[in-house]
Amino acid sequence: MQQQYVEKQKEITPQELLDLASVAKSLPGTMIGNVAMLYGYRVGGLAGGFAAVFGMILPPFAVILVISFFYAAFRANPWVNAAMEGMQAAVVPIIFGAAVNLIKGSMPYPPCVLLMLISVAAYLFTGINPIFMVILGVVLGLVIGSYYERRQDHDPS
Amino acid sequence: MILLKLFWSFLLIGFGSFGGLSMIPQISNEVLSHGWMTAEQVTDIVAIAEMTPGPLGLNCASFAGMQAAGIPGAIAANLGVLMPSITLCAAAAVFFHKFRNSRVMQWILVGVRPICLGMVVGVILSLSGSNYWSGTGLNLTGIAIGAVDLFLLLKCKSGVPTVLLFSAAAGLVLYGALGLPA
Repeated sequence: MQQQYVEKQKEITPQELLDLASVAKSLPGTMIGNVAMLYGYRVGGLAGGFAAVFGMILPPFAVILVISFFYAAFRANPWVNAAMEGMQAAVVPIIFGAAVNLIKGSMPYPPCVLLMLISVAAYLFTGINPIFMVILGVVLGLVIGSYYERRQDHDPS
Repeated sequence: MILLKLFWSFLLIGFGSFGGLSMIPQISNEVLSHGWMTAEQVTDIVAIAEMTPGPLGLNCASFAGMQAAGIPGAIAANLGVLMPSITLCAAAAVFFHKFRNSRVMQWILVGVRPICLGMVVGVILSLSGSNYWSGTGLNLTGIAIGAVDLFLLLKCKSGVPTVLLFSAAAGLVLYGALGLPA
């Protein structure tokens, strides 16, 4: 995105792209889909937004379509299987690496740490649907966020 | 019917997640509980999605949709997961300037971020169980490859494609050529 639109076409400044990205990140859904919608809207209104979203999904859709057609046959091949077994071992470290990046800035107030731990336990030991956990997060976020912000307003130190 | 179910499941995934790897808990919960994919396939699709262009959520939607109901299934799942972008985010685009500095959105994230992080940690733990445990004992070869991967990612700052390439090569040599048990 940065290369294509900021540097080549000069359609948008780096700062604007950052703004779009931060709004896209704070909304639910795939971030890239949200960025496409915001950027498309900026260039061509709502129709531009829809066009950008659908344009963005087509290439990966085609790639996965091809892969999943051959998935069963590929997977039965012992060499492909060996390579996939190797890659399976990489999945947990990759998610771990991403989680390390998520930690930064994710727990600004002490109750957030408790919320994180409760979330780990709920995911592992109860069958609760993750969407209810996210809804709980929205409600508690409103409570915790507004409480600490009010406290900061009263105590400027 | 299956198409509606796929659409609805991925709609929930879309609205309940905030992009990237924070989608994995939702995705694995939905596709496993409906029997659309096995735990091994979820791991495969994460690896495939990281190797191919395109975001993880969409790649998982396409793959799970294909497994469950062919191309119509993939389309239904993609539409579901994109719903937040074409509804909520379209609204945000229209009201962009009001929205950007919204304190309420910032407060919501104060609660949602730790929840998402916690569930990602949960996924790490439960996937560790299925990826490094072969049913009868520890998969030592897998643990060894994973340990090197972690080192590459955190210490050498290698990119994800490099790490996957290394792991595939290690898999070919250790499992394929040397015949070590998985």
